[in-house]
Amino acid sequence: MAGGDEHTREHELLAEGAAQPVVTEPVPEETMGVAQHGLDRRPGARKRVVVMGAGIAGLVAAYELKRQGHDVVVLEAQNRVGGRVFTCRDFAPGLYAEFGAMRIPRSHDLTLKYCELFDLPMRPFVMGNPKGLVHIAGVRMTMEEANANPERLPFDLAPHERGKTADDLWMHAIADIKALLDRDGDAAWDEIRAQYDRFSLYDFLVHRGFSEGAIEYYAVMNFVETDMHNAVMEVLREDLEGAYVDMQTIDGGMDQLPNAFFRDLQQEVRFGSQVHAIELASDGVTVHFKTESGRFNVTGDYAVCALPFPCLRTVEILGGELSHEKRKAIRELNYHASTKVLFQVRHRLWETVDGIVGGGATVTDLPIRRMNYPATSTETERGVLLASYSWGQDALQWGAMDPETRLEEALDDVSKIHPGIREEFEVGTSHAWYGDRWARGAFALFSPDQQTDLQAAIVAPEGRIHFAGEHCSLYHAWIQGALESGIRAATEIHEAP
Amino acid sequence: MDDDRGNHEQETELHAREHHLMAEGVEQELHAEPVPEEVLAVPTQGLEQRPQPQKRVIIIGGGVAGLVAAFELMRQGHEPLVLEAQHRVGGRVYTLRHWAPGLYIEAGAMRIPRVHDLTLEYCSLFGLQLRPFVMGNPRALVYVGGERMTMAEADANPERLPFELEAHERGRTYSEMWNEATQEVRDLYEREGHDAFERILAEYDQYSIREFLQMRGFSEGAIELYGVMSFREQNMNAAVIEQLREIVGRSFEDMQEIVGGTDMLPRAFYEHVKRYVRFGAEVNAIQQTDHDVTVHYKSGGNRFSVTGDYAICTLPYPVMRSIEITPALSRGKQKAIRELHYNSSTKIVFQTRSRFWEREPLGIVGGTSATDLSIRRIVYPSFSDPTEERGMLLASYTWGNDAIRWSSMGEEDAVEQALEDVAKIHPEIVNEFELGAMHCWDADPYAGGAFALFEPEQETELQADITAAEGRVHFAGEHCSLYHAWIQGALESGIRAAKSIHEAPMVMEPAKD
Repeated sequence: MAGGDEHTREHELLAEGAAQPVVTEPVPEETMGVAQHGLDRRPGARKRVVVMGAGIAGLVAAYELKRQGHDVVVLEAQNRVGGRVFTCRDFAPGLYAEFGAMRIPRSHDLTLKYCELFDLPMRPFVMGNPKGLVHIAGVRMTMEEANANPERLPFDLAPHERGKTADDLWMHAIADIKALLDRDGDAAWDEIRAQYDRFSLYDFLVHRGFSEGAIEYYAVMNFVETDMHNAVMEVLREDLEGAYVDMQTIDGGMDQLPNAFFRDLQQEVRFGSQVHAIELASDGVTVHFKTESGRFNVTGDYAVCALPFPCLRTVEILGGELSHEKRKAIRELNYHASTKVLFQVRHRLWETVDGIVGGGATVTDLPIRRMNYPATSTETERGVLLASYSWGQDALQWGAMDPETRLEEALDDVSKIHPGIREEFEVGTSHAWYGDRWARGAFALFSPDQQTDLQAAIVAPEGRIHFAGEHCSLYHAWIQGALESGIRAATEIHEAP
Repeated sequence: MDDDRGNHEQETELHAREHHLMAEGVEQELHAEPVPEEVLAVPTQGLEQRPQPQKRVIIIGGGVAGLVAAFELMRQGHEPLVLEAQHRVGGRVYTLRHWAPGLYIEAGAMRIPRVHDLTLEYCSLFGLQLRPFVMGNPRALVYVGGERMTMAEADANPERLPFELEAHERGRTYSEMWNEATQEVRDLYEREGHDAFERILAEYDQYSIREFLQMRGFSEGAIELYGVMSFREQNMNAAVIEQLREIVGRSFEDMQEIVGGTDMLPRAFYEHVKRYVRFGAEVNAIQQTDHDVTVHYKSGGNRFSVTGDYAICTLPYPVMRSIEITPALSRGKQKAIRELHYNSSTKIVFQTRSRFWEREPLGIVGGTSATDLSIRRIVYPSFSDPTEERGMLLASYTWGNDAIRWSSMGEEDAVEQALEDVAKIHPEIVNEFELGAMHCWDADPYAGGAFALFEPEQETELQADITAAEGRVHFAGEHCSLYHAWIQGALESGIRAAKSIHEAPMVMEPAKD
């Protein structure tokens, strides 16, 4: 079964005979059913499958294969499951915050199905809080004020842009694309990609007549000022598919999802097992791994590689080579950087002083770029603040600092917005995803033309190795992409003759 | 560029001399500029002498830009103070010497093109010896898609490289294709000289390398070939203008290296300004009034401040980003600091028992091997020391995402991984390897990246703000020049800052405490 088939299948339902596999698609009906009913039951030999990586993609693949009676082993280099779903609990008892994935949009149906399957408690994740703050060029106001009086923000806009919010400008810029989607449904994605895949976000805004000031305005308000040369397709896809609408989070920590998978895979997961070579053969795959106690290998009929491509890049391939196209995709696929800095505070001063209740965010042009406020708690006066969440070059700068300096620098910035923070701060911690050797980047993010040029090769299996992970989907950065690609890989193996 | 092997080793850089010979007396503008005559004369003659009271100048950063500014200000009787956070001078000129006695290798700047006249003038002032740095070597290797051949073989039979080219591209080397793609720019420059650059900038600043190649009809396979062989596969979104400037500048011809290590240059400056340097001083805030500048710094857990008439900030912009500045910098400067793109670079170096690569049948003295492995390229020492058996090998030199990823590994694992890669090309390495080290410029908190590298439109949009002084604070460093990544840019901008301060009229000052 060729890579990208799950896309093709869905595509066929919508527009018969269309040949282009590389488009954004909703998750196919039969994949949606997997959470509840498992993969299609079919008689067949029990297959032995080696899964590399116990992030969500590896876990769901192992879980679904096991449900069908296959024999799986999951190799995980770290001491935990979840990968880039990583709840930090190094705080006062009961407190936690997310280093990685922190929210699930309503449109991510497959993710919500698994949450439901495992009966995980959900609660709303507040995105826009009108009381959230904007602090730009030293000017501080609430989000509500900034929206009501955009001209208070110090950007140098053209006359026709004045008095509009960055959102207004953006909605105007994509109005025709939105109309196209409304008219043609998902079939429109082909045309959108053909037309826009070559554009960076910067090119796109220039193309839509944004002034330099408006580009800066959009970039600062959306935290993408150092990422303007990535593909605009990523932004279009997320925006037009409601990736930021009606968000929820798992009450008690996102790690409950990987931990729930793990409960059924206790014996199958081997921790502390670092894959260093994959040996190809016509009748199976041997995976070589290191632990603190020595070197081992395990052979299966198939393998699922759920390692991010930057990690796969240094895994040696023995007994042959991956295809030229796959190797190119592994070398070239762009990954985004992301760093989060967390503060535990004695009192949630943003609630008492600024009236920011229930969550929300603050946007700034300071190095911290943005803060996210946690939900209100009735059990404790303490709280964990996401004091900085940065992307791209900003995130790399934070990554270059030692952990203590990160806290000091973040405190400097946060105190400009919440002067009381020094009084309330207790402990802090941070995570830079590019510096994490088991991730080596935060998530895949296409450069211009990469979707067209690389996507088919990214998802294609190579002999008996199947690939999964958010980078093997078109839901980059989202749990949904890990689940969808993990199920695809499991299905491919389950259905192989 | 006739010697296309030169392409294998370019850094993102500018040239200058060429412009200079062709167009005299051009005003300072935003495009590529030769170093003006009076700046070129500074190494030998110093800044223009003019009687005036001594100025006290706080210089932030003891890299080449800070050192040259301190040196030239001192020569005119001013009183500089250099605040350096680390235990050494030189910044991104960094020679690693923790090897067997006498051995060294560069973690940073490693070569000087002949057209970098200003750099060579300072080398000559300090009596530093130079020798050739080998760029292209036909005996160096290519290892792509598991195929191993020499550069000479790859050039003679380009179809042996496993890239999927269009019919009209087959049988051509990537440098032939690149030369053809840039012929028009080259011709324009030949015809019209330096003035043409303004037009080149207006036309091409909007394009990334990738867009430029597409516009010139490169197939996806040819773009990949170009990316792999030029080591730019991770930098295809950077502004093509950085490269067009190189081409017309011919700055890869005739490269030199400083005998004894590149750090001989910052050390030579240091000998003269020793008493003005304070090590271990980490700057965290700058405050200015209309008559002075106060710089706050931390040292040994304590906080200090020092006040001068002027300041020169030579910190890379990513590092500047976390310095508190009051009153706030202009909006334009703030934007430039936030947005200026930096390239990443990582070097992994090996000490070996012998220079086995110099022996037949390899016979490689100097030059670079190109691979599609995670090490990307191997650079061999140019100088074959007859008195020394051992060798220092630049086992991996990477840019962009490749470089950042090495930093996540930790030195020990990275050296092990690099060994595995090098062994694919040179199996001898396993027995010859003794020690290894890695330097990631992105992970270096005092660099925050390897060097400035424009994204499309950044030169047009940001350059004026990048270099502009703000009140009594002046800016220097390679990022404040159009010689990104080169010592020449640090020198040129450092002299510019020193000169502006030297020539600034003194105002009547109230007494300072």
